[in-house]
This record gives sequence, C-alpha cells and structure tokens, in this order.
Amino acid sequence: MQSVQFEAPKTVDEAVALLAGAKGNARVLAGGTDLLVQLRAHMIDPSLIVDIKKIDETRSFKKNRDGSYTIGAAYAGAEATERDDITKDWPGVVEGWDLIGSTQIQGRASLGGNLCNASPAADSVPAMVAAGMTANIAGPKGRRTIPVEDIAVGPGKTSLAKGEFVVSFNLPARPKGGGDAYLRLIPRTEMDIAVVGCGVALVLDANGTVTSAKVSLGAVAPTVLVVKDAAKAIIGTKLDDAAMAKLDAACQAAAKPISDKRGTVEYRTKIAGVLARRAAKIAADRARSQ
Amino acid sequence: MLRDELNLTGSKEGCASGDCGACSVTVDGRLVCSCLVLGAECEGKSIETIEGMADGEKLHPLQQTFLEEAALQCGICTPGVLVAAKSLLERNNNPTETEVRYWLAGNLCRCTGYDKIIRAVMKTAAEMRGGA
Amino acid sequence: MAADKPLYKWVGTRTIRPDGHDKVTGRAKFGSDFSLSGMIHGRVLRSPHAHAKIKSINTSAAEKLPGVRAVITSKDFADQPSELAAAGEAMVNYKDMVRNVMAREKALYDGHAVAAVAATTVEIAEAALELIKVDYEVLPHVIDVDDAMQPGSPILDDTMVPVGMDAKGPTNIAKRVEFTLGDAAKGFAAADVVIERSYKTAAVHQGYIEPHAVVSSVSEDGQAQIWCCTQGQFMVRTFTAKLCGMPVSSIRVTPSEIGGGFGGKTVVYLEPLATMLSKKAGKPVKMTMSREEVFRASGPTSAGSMTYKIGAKKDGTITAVEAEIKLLAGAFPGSPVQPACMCAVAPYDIKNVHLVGYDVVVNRPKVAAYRAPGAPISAFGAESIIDELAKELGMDPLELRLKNAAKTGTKAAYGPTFRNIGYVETVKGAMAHPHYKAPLGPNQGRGVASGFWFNIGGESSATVNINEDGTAVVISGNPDIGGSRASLAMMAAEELGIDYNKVRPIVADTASVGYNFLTGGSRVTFATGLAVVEAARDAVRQLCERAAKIWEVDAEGVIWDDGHAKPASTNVGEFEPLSLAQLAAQAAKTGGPICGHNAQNVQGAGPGFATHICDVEVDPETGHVTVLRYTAVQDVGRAIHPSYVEGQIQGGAAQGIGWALNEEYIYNAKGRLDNPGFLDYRIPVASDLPMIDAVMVEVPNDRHPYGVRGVGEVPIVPPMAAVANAIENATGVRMDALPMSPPKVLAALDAARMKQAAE
Repeated sequence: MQSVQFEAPKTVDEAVALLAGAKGNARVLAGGTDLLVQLRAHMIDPSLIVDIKKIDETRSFKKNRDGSYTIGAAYAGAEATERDDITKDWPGVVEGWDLIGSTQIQGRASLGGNLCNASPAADSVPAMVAAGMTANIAGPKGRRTIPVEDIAVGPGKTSLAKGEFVVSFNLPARPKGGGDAYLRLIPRTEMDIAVVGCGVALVLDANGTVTSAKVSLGAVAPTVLVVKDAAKAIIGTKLDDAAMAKLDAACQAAAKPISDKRGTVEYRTKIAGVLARRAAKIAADRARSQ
Repeated sequence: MLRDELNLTGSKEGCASGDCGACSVTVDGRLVCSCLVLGAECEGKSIETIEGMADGEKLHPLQQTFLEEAALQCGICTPGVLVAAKSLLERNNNPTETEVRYWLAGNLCRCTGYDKIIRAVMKTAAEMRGGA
Repeated sequence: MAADKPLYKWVGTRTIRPDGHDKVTGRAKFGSDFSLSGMIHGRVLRSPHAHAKIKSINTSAAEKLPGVRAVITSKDFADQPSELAAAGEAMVNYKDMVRNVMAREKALYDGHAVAAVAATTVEIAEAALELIKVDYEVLPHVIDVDDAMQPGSPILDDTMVPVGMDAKGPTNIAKRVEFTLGDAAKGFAAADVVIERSYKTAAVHQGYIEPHAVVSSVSEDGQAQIWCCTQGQFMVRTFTAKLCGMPVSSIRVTPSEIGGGFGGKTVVYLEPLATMLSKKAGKPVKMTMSREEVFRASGPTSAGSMTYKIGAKKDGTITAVEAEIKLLAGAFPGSPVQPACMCAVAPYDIKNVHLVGYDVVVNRPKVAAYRAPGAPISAFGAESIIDELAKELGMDPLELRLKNAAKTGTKAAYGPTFRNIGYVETVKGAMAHPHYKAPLGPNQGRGVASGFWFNIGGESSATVNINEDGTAVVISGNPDIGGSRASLAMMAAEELGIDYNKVRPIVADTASVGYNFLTGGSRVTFATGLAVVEAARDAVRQLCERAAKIWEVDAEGVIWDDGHAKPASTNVGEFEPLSLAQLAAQAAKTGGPICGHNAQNVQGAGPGFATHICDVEVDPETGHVTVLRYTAVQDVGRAIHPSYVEGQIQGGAAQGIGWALNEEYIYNAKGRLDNPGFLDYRIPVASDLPMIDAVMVEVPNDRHPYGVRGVGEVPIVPPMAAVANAIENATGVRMDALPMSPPKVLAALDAARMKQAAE
C-alpha cells in the first residue's frame, strides 16, 4: 500500500488541476460511502484523494426561479429529505437518493458519488434518469453538461476524462401534472443493494392520460437503462390493465441481467416488470394529487 | 483514527464497511459511520462519540433506560445504537415504532432481536416529552 | 408461606446488570479494545483456493521487509496425534485443530490460514503477506453435502476412516450415527397416513458483531499472557498450550467483554498464532480479524440435507418417524449431527423412531457451534413434516403436537426418560395466546413449530468472598454473553441475604478461579449458578461458625436467615442476630477471611422446550416475505432475571428468522465465498422484524436450587419451520429449502401456478 496524498481544495479549478496533474490513480471523495469501503478493502490503491466537499458549488442546493433545481454533487440524501421543496416536487428522486444504505450512509452518500461509482444497481440513478437530470462536469477543457445516463459506461467505469469531475446536477422544474417514483426490490427492508430498481417519471393531462413518460431500470444491465418501449407502452393511456401489461412486458424485454449472489436472471427479469407497474402507479397517483 | 490514535475505544469496529453501525458517531450533528469518514475530512468539525453522551456521572436518559429495560446483551452494538438513537430523538421526539426501526436499520444487533432496543428508545422519547 | 409474600427477594426481579454502565458509556473493553506498550501487529495470509495442495511456502522476502518481526507457517507448530477434546457441545480433534489454525499439507477452504506475520504496523504486516510465495497445486473441490457423498466426489482426506460404518475406498463421510427406539417398520405398518419428504438448510454464520481479537504476550521465561474475546478462557488456555507446546501453567488467559459468540467463540483461531508470533518476536502481538476473515475463516454452522418419513393414525397418533440427516462439517470432521438427531423429534412421545445421521467433510471452513448446534436443522425438517401431517389429517397443528407431546416419563429416542418437563405447557400456552386466534388478511398466513434442546451442565467452580464491609465478590470463570453476571449475583444475594447491589460478580482469568467449562450449552446460569449457590452456602456456613464462636455455642445451633446469623432456637440461647456486615467486620478476630468455595462437575441439566407462532405476509409478485407477528412460548424452568431470559428468547427467535429468510453462505464456481460481509450476508435489521412476544412458562428444574433450566438455545430451534409453515398457510406452497429468500419463494409460487394452470 502506497501513502495517499489527501487534498481538500476550495475551488473547482484547484480540484481540476489536482486531478489532472495526479501521477498515479486519483480519486474524488464526496460522501465517501463507496470510496472508503473500497479503500479499506484494498480494492483500490489511489495516490491522491481529492475531497470536493470544501468547494461551495458541490455542497450547495438551489431551487431556481423557473422551478428547476441546481444540486451540488456532494449534497447528501438525508439533507434532501429534510427539505420541503424537492420532496414535494420530485419525491421519486429523493426516494432513490435517500434509500442508499442506512441512516448513517444517507447522511453522507451523494448523488455525484452514487452516479460516478458507476454501479448498475445504484439506487439514485434510475430516478435521476427518469426525471431527466443532467450533470455539470468540470475538467481541464472547461465545463460541459451531459445527461445523467451518459456518465456510467459499465460497472465501475465512467465517460469522464482524466481531470474531470461532476460538480453539480440540474433537475428540471416539475411539469404540471407530473409525478415520479422509485422502487427497488431488496431481500431485507433496508441495507441491501438493489436486486432491481425502477424509476418512473410521467405527466398526466387533465383527463388522466399519460402525455409523456420516462422509465429507467437499474441492476438489470451493465448500466442503468432507459426503456423507451416502456414509456411508449403507457403514453396515451390512462394506465389501464392493458397498458400496464405492455409496460411490464417492455421492461422484461429490455432487462438483460446476470445471475449473481443477489438474484437470478429469471427473478430480475420478472421483477423489472413488477416494479415498473408499481412505480408507474405511484407516479400517476402523485401526479393526480399534485 | 478515533480508536487507534485518540484511544476512544467506545466506538466499535464490526465491519469497516458501513454495514453494521457499531462505530456510529455524529459529525456536526449528522449521524455517520466513523469507519467511512477520513480523519482529514473532519478538520474543524465537531464530533460526538459515546464517550461524551453522559453528563459527568449522570447518564443520558437513553443510557439509563437501556439499563432499566435490558436493551443490551453483549453490548458491542450498544454505543452505536445509543448514538444513533440520540440523533433520532434530537430530530423527532415522538417517533413511531416503524420510524425507530428504519432509523436504526443500520445498527446491527445480533443478540436482542431489537425488541427491547426499540421499546427503550420509544420509552425514552415518551419520558423526555413528558419531562419537557 | 403467605400467598402475597414473594418466594424470593432478588430471584425473578429485573435488576440493573452489573456490567451495564460500562456498556452504555463505551467504557467496557472488548477484544480489540486492549493494547499493550511495545505491541506489534499480526496478520494472516489465507488461501484463495477452496482445495489445494501446498507444495511450498517461501517467506524469505517477507522476513526481510523492514518492520517485520516474525513470520510463521505450519512448520512452527508440531503435528498433533489424533486425540479428541471437548469444545462447546462438540468434540474436536487436535490433529485437525493444528491443521485448521494453520494449513499443513493442503489448504482445505477459501480463507484457510497458510501463514502469519507480525510487524510494527498493520500496514507493514499486510505488505509482508503479499511477499509470501505459496506454491499451490489447485485440486477439484466440493461444497455441497450431497455432492460430497456421491461416488467420484473430490476427497478431502484420503486417509479418513469413517466412524460407525464400513467404507470401501476413500470417503468424505467422517461418521455415521444411529438412534433407534421401538420398531419403525412396525410403526409405519400401523399407520393410516405416511408422508415422506426431503429438506435442505443453508450454512449460516453466528454473525456476532465483534470480530475475533487477541493480544498475546510471551515473556523471555516462556510465560504467556493472553487477552481475548472468547466463550472460554480455559478452553483457550488448553488449546493454545497444546498447539504451542507449552505447559498449561505457563499460560494465563484473561477474557475481555465478549461482543457476541453464539457458539462461534468456543474454539481457537488467532490465539495460537498470536502466541507463536509473540514467542518468536519477543513482543506482545495483537491480532484482529476483519469482517471478511470472520466469514471466510471462522466457523459457521452446518448446512443440512435430510429426508423424513412420518406415519400416523387418523386420530393423530404418530406411530413412527424415520429420518436420514446429513450435515456438512466443513473441512474437518465434527458437525453437530449427533445433537441434530437427538433433538429431531424429542418434543414428541413416539414409540418407533429410527434416525441415521452422517457427518460429512467439504471444502468450507470447519463448522463451529451455533446456538443449539444441529437442532434447528433437524427441527426444520421434523416440524415441517409434522405440519404437512396436520394438514393431511385435517387437524389443528397445535392439537396434533399436544396429542403426541412428550411428558414426564416419556422415553426419548436418544436415550433418556424425561423427568419433569414443560413441553405440554408451551403448546397450551401457544393455544391460549390471543395471537393464535387473531384474524389474518389477504396473502397472510400463520405457522407454528416446536423445538427442543437438552442443555448441559459441566465442570464449574466459583468463589464467594465476603468483604470486610459486608459486601461480597462472586468470582466465576465464564465469559458473560447474555447477562449471566446479573443472574449469578442475584442468586448469591438471595443466599447471603444481602442487597444485590452489594454483590459484585466478576469473570476471572484462568489463574484466579478454578476450572470452568466454557460458556455454551445454556449451562452458565444453571451449572456455574449451582457452583455459585454452593459457594455462597459455604460462605454462609462459615458465617454461622463465626457467630457460633462469638456466642460460644455449637455451630449447629446457628441458622442463617435474611442476611443474619440467628440462634436456631431459644434452647441455644438468647442472642441478638448478627448481620453479615457485623460478622465480616470481625472476621480477622474470629478465624480470618471468609471465602466460600465450590467446584463440581454439574449434572442434572433440565431440558428446554419451546413452541413458536409466526404470522407472515407473502408478496405474490415478488416472493418477499414479511414477518408480521411473532410469539415464542418457552419453558424457562425459573427465570432468574426475566428481562434477560426474554432477551434470549427474542434474540434466538430473530436469529432463526434470519436463518429462515435470507442468511446463507454463497460460494462461486471456484469455491470462493461470494458474500463475506454484512452487506450480502443478510442478518435481520431492525426494520425487518416485529416485536417478539416472549412468553415464559415456568416448570422448575427439580435438580437446581432455583429451578433453573438453560434458556439460551432452544429459541433458535422452531423459527425456520414456523416461518415455512406460515408461508405454506399463506400461499399453499411448501418451501422445503432454506433460505426462503424472495427469488426462491417466487420461483416456488410460479411453479405452483404453472402446475395449477396445467391441471
């Protein structure tokens, strides 16, 4: 084990310079709930750890005038749960974010960390994807903004270049008639990694017909999936049984899971359909009650 | 860091991966697993451990109720459970059984089946509300 | 005696435990909380292979690393001949033990220790492990108990000769046991209904939150001091002495507070290694297992595979039971197959029983005791098939159990004739409980199951010292895993007639108290409790003698009543009673210190029975099972400290629910453990469980002065079948394998739906 250099820069530019200039393997520390586990288990052996929590932008949370949100990459789920605005506008996003691990983990785990750890089972990601969130990335070549679903490219792998890190996220304003939900299946009631996760965001018109929808699945492929056929299955419907059956089938068809210690291919495939139906129903109920 | 350098061995290490909660402490009032916090991150922050829970010889009401209600057996999880429960009661002085169970889901206890722990936390909350 | 006067002043009350304050303030010292100046740190190199021949180990590079003080391998430990020793409720063989703490010819499981290093820091020790070169020849491995018994299976030990059976050629079967009562064939011939089923259970870990930890310090004159978390300091002393080739008198073991054991800390892992490293390095050596090491290298309990056959008359009389029970032992012989067979159908009065058990080695860590070792496994099969029988006969499952219940005078298949037992009372208690008649909603079901554990006594010694100020110290030698210090102090206070808070119980090191068999078998409050009671009575006898001396009367003329020496009658004379404090203050003048002592090999453990009721809700689309309500009725003999008895019942039930629903050792294709952490080895968390209603029925054990029965183990016996029976009641689907995790339950539900659709 080599000795680790620890830095806690106060600005984005300093952080980028440290990450870009690192000789060995550099790691960004946000909530630390994945990084420190990997460090202690000797799964990683970084030469540099850059704690981004001293950078104001990563720790800020702002509801903008147009109803959208700008959320720092190191903002913790427990902090979001304690806010009235986002829990009312995007309960599904907060659910996914604040389901990560225990109370102790929720006080630290961040959206940026959960996303960039690039686990296909990350709880916060399906709801972020369904909600249409984008990530603001800083790097040696400046800033860029990309959809959340374009960050992870495989288990543990991201599209970020050397020196880049996610500074913050953009969450759109909740559309009129909008509702979202995140559900996951775990063997226990808490503390587990999702066997399957599903985020649904949709918009209902005054008649209760779905006018737009985005459905996202976790833990059924190397990355979190956007299931376009699932959205198609419910758009234009009032989520009647036939639409729900189509939604279920589309999610089962899209799921390409593996069998491992947490679940089998057969099980994950079936559950993807079950959770999509249940999440769509919750999202619609929320849309109606807004 | 807490255990090896400051010799505060009240926070226990059960897993070193954030899965057992035995090392629970609060950092600036926020409940965390100390195994998943680097010492360097805590510069200038206020850390509360089990060692600071009692006020001199006077036990915190949670500590006293845990003794009276036999809410501990081997005692290895107890410091973490107490720190977590105190953090809950500071946020919510009237939690439901379900709220207590979910708040403490990250504090593994293998001895008690949780029954007496949950009862002790709820009883303390009721007493603290009554006394306020 | 007046009806309103309680029988006892302290026994049966809910006192504050003596070790409580230190545990709620973080002051209590557990295994890894201990340090010595000049201490160095030991780490263990473990096999990544499930089964491999060790061709060579080269430690020279590790030894040269700056900061490394000692490196050991199996060469540092003399080989041991085949010799059995008691550990917990099982026997261990020194020949195997020396191989388990450090692999010799072969690495036999993923995580098997192959070398250890002591260095000035943990980081250097870990770096040194990476420099050790082990040349392995990887061999085919076997993980499953049924696979290991198949012809052509990889063989762990070519030289193993099975006990109790003939074998042609090499085998993984270490032992066959058999219990016969009556004539099973005749019993089945007399039956109206015969059912035969097979069941499997997964290996599960005790899951104590405190990892194994030790500090060992061997001085230049060869004297060793060991501080560790263990269920038996005398066991650590005996085994470490044997493996390290030291006289027992040269080792002093002090037990720390113990952060859970449940049977898993009844053997040695690190202690001989730390002692050998300290001997070589000349420094105290501290070793602590990581959580991953705890799962990979310390003993879980067995997985089991079994077939039961049961026959009964239409009126519910069970006429015969036959079973074949196969338990895996891990890498070395010694599964709890014998107790599994003994307990299988012990709650019932069945005239014809034939039980056969097999002890089978596989490439997994050697199993260790886990709470009523073996009994929960065999009970899962027995209590499931009895539930099927009740359904077949159209009988209430508790009525069926009551009809066949073992009573005082029943001859058990494993040999003894029961004295006073309380099984019937537990069944009646369950039937009378409001839970049993409460309404159920959709997708919900209710299951019941019973359980038995024989409990043990064993070698016990204790000292009760009367202090000059009228207080007392109770010295015993059993690590307190569940509140035993409180119960020992309460019994001593009762005998001495002084305030409980004036009695200080301590757990002594091996040099400060007589020998005690380890904490296990639900023996401490019963057996060590008996020694404490006798030691207190010895002190009382001495106190009476001192009073007699002061009064100048015969000692027989003095009685002890309510903490005072009193004249037995007016014939003796008119004297003011002398309190314990008054007598203690004068001890020097009346003959010196007053020290009560007792040592004996305690017999007469009273068996324990329990009957549990469980309600579940099954999600028909996901297979997720939620335990909604749980009631555990148990004969506890007499509860010395009711809160801690309830705690044992609740904790045991919770562990059983974990075993039922989600806990299992998952091995990958290479035979490596895939879930060595609390993330994927899923013990119940607070939000998984309901309150657990512990109902104590008291049928005192007539062979203990306070009627004590062991209470710690039987509560883990019924839950798995209770949960399975509840799932069947909710869904109509019988789960015959553990764990009943969501994927397995959904697969069973889907299979049943397909079968139904096909019909």
